[in-house]
Amino acid sequence: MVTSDTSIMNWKNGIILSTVSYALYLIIWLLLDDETSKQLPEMIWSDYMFDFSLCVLFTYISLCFCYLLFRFLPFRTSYLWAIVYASGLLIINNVVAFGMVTLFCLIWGEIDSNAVYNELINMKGAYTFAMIATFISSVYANSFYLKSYLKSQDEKQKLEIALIKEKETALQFQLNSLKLQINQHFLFNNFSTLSELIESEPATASDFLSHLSKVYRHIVRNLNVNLIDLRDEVKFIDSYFYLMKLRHGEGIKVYIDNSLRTSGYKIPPASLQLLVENAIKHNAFSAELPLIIDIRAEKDYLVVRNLKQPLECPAESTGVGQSNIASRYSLLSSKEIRIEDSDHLYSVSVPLL
Amino acid sequence: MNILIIEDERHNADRLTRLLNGNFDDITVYGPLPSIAEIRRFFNEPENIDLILADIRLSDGLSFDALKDIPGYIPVIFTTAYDEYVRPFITTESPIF
Repeated sequence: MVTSDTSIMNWKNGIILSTVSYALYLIIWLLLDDETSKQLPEMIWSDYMFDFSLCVLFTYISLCFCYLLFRFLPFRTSYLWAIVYASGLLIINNVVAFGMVTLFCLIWGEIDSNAVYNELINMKGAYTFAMIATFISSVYANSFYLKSYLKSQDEKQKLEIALIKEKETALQFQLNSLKLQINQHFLFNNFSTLSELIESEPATASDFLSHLSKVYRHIVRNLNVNLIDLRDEVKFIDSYFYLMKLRHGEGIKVYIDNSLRTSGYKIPPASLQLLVENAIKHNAFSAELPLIIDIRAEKDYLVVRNLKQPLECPAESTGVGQSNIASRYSLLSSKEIRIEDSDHLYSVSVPLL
Repeated sequence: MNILIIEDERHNADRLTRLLNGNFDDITVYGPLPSIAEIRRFFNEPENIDLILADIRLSDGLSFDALKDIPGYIPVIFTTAYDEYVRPFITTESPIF
C-alpha cells in the first residue's frame, strides 16, 4: 500500500512536520506559559536545537507508529478508528516522553521517585512537544493514507470498467462467430452447385451467383447489427429461396405472407434464414412430396410453420441455431421465442420488435 | 468400372458425372439415387457396382442408413462440403476418404 517514493517515512516530510510542530509549540508556549516563556531570550541555540530535535524525534516516532499501524491493521475511515489511532499515538508519544525523562535523569541526575515526579511536571515541555507532534503527524498520516486509499479505489473502478468492456467484446465476438458458423456450410453447398452451373447452364449460373452474393452481402453487412427491418429480411429470404429452389427443385416450397413485405417490425438478422434452414434440415422432401414452409405474422410474432415430414432417422440437432436465436433475443427483449411441436406440425414463433 | 452416385441435388450429381466421364475412360456411371428409398430399390436387384460415391444428407435421411444394409462389400467415398457431418458417423465398415 505504501510505495517507496511516497513513503510516510519520507525524510523531507518528516522535517517539515517537525518544523511545523516546533513552531506551533513555540507559539503555544509564548501564549500560554508566562513563567517559562521569559526564559526564551536567554536560551541559546543549543537549547533551541535540543528542543527541535525532541520535536523531530516525536514526529518520527508518530510517523513510524502510523506506518506500522496501517501496515498491520485494516484501513478504516470511521471516526471511531481515527480516535483509536490518535489515542494510540498520544499514548505512545507520552510513553516515549516519559522514557526520555527517565533517561535524562539517569544520565544527568539521580533516580528518585519524587524527583521523577517533579521532573515529570517540569518536563511538561516534553509533553507539549509530544502532543503537538502527535496531533500534526496524525493528521498528516490520516490524509496520506486517505489519499492512497482513494487512489486504490479509483484503480479498482477503472479495472472493473475495463473488465465489463472486455466481457461485452467477448460476447459480441462469440455471437459473430455463431452467426458465421451457421453460414459456412450454406456457402460451401452453394459453391458446389454454382461450380456445376458454370459448366452446364452459364446463364443460370450468373443469376445464381447474383442471388448468392445478395444473400452473403446481407449476412456480412448485418454481422454486427442486432436488429434489422423485417422487410429486408424477407427480401433476403427471396434470394435465399431462389438458391434453395435451384438446388432442390420442386422439393421445397416457401410461402411468405405479403403483409410481411411492408411490415414496420424488426427482427435479429438471419433469424428467418436459420428457421427455414432448420425446417429443411429436419424434414424429408421430394418433388412428389414437397416440404411446405409457411411464414406469416400472428399478432406480434413471426411464425414459421411446416408440416412434419420426418426423416427416416432424425437428423442430429446441434442446437446451435435455435439457442443462437434465443440468446440474441434475450439480449434484445424480454419476450421469448415459442416452439410448438405437435404430431404433424412444427412451428417456431419469434417476437417482432 | 461401375460407379454409383448417391446424391439428392441434381447439380452436384451432374458435376460428379461430368468429372468422372471427363477424366476416366472405362467407367459407367449409375444413378444418381436421391433417397434412401431409391438406394434400397436399386440394390433389390443384384447389380455389379465397384465403387459408390455418396452424399451424406439425402432428401429423406442419411445415406449411412441405406448403405449399411447393402449386401457385399463395396467401397464408399463420401462427398460432402462439410466434414463435420462425417465425424460422428465413422464406423469400421466403410473406408472414408
